[in-house]
Parts: sequence; structure tokens; C-alpha cells
Amino acid sequence: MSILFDKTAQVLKKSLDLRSINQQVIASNIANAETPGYAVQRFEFQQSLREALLAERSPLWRTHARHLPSGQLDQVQGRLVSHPDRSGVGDGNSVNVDHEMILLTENQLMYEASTQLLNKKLGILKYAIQGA
Amino acid sequence: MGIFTSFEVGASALTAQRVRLDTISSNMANVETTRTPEGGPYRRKMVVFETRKMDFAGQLNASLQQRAATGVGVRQIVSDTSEPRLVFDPGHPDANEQGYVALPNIDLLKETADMMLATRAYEANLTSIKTAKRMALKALEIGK
Amino acid sequence: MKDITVGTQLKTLLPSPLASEQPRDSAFAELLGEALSRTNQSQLDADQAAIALQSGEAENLHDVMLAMEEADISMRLLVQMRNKVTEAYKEIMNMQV
Repeated sequence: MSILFDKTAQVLKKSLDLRSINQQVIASNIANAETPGYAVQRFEFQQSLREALLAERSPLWRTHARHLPSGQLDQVQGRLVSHPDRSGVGDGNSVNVDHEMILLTENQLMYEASTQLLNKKLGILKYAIQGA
Repeated sequence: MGIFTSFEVGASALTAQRVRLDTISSNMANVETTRTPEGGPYRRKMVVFETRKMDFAGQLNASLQQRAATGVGVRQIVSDTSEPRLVFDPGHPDANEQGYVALPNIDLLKETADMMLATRAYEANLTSIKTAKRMALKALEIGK
Repeated sequence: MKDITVGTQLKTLLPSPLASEQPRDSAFAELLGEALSRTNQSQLDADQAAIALQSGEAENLHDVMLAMEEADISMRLLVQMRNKVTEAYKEIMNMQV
């Protein structure tokens, strides 16, 4: 992680990592929408990502956007949380397919936004280097 | 790679739903079948789903991404063990002494509804695969 | 935005009555310096917007995308400016005195 990857780019990469995992978790939920006894899995990372980002915000951050050791950002791993069905009705499957589809779309959108932003950043860098 | 696991999870569901659809078609086709190799009328078939961990999830150093993937499979296809319907029809070749024929206990309406559910589940998983594919393609465009 | 054309640059290089009030050096340096800091600021703003999107603070996705676009265009403008000014400078230097 050198001059190419300033803090923002690291954040974007982290976001891509997390959302990649999230995509799989959601895919698993959708695949098991009719499996008896299956408990919905949620990949929780939003809160810890948010906290890591806010913690690193300091007066220094605005003027030295390029390199600050971002140990806290690296540690954001997210965790898998199970949400079993507690209604006592039916086969014990707690998946709501429509909700999963919405989460799928949202996750995809955020993933693509991150790739787009990363792309733009690299594009600016390349352009500045080429100078033409 | 993680993104291919997404495809596998979705694919496992597509396969499972297909098996379910086949079972339903089978039920619908045999709604009046009175003779089977096992003897007696056709018995309604149902699928039982179970979760399937993707192949490498069991490895010691499996990443969170790999462990998070849970696919689905058909554990077995079970026959409905409830009593068959008895219909009074003395002229039927398979009627018993009292003139009753044992017909399969298949309700076409229920099978149709089940079929729609299977289709919907199939489509939902198709979307999940498409989404994973799109994300992978976008990632390929980084730096272009 | 100030009018940054080759003409303006040349005007500041010409001697007395046609030159502007300020001494030549600082008008030119000022212009470039201003563009530089504006571009730099747009980069920082874009970075901040991208991070705000990840932390959930961003109000709108399009704001973030626009901020990034602005940073991009700003950089291109700056580079083009530099190129044109360098070109103009070379042309002047090549003039027979």
C-alpha cells in the first residue's frame, strides 16, 4: 500500500472486501429461502466500519489525506449474526425473500459505487502522471 | 475465489428448485394413477431441503467469506404417507370389493401453488447470481 | 472563475502602460497558485465525500459522484492550464529579441 493507495482508497478497498462477503451471505439466505429450520444470516459490518472511520477523523486528516496508519480500519472484520425464526409457526425458516432481494440490490449498488469511485481516483492519478 | 462461491451457492439453489419442480410435475402427471410398481395408487412426492456447506468450508484456514456461503440441496424425496382418497366407482378396473377406488391424494390447486413458489424461488436465485456476476464485472473494470 | 487565457498571460508579460498594476511575477504565480489550491481542495472534498458514503453519512449518492467528477475535471483543467502556459512560455522564449 504505497502512493497509489491513500487513506480514501484503503477505505474503498475495505468496503469492497466487506460487501463481497455480504453478497455471499445474502446469496446463501436466498438459496435457503425454503430450507426448514434455516436461520437467516446477517453480515454486520456497517457499525464497526462507521466507528473506525469516525475515530480516524482528526484535524490532521483533512490536510494529510494521503498517508496515516489506519490500523483501526484494517481491523474492521464484520461478523456473522444468526437470526433464527422465533415465530413458532411453519417450518422454522426465517428468510423473507423480498427483504433479501432489497438487501441484495443495496449491497450491489454500494459495491458498484465503491468500484466507480476507486476507478475515478486511479484515473485522476494516472492523468496527472501522464500530463497530457 | 469468493465471488465464484456466490455463483455456486446460487447454482445449488437452482438445482434444488428444479428437482422440486420435477417432483411437482410428477405429482400433477400422476393425479389419477392407480397402479404403481410398489403396488397401490401413486403417492404424492415431496422434496426435503437441507443446507449444504460449499466444499472448502470445512478447511481449517477457510476465510470468513468461504464459511459464510451456505448452499442448499435436496436431502431426499419423500412420499406422502397419508391415506389415499377413496372414490366410489365400481366400474373401475382397480375398484375393491366395496366398489371403491384408491386414488392418489394429490390436490392440483396445491400443486399449482407450489409450482409458483418454486418458480419464484428459482427467479430469486437467478437474480442473486446475476448480481454477483455484475459485481465481478464491475470489479474487472477498476483501472480501465 | 478568472479568465485564464493565453492572452491574459501575455498581457501581464508586456512592459509598462499595457501591463497590469501588480508586478508581473505575482499575478502569474497567483493565478497558478489559486488554481492549484482549488484543485487540491476538490481532491480533498472528493475524498471526504467517498469516505462519508462508506460511513453512512452521505445524504445522496449523486453528491458523492459529482464531487468525484469535479475533482477529476479540476485536475484535467489544471494539467491543461499548465501545458498551455508552458507552451506560451516556450513560444515567448523562442522569439528573437
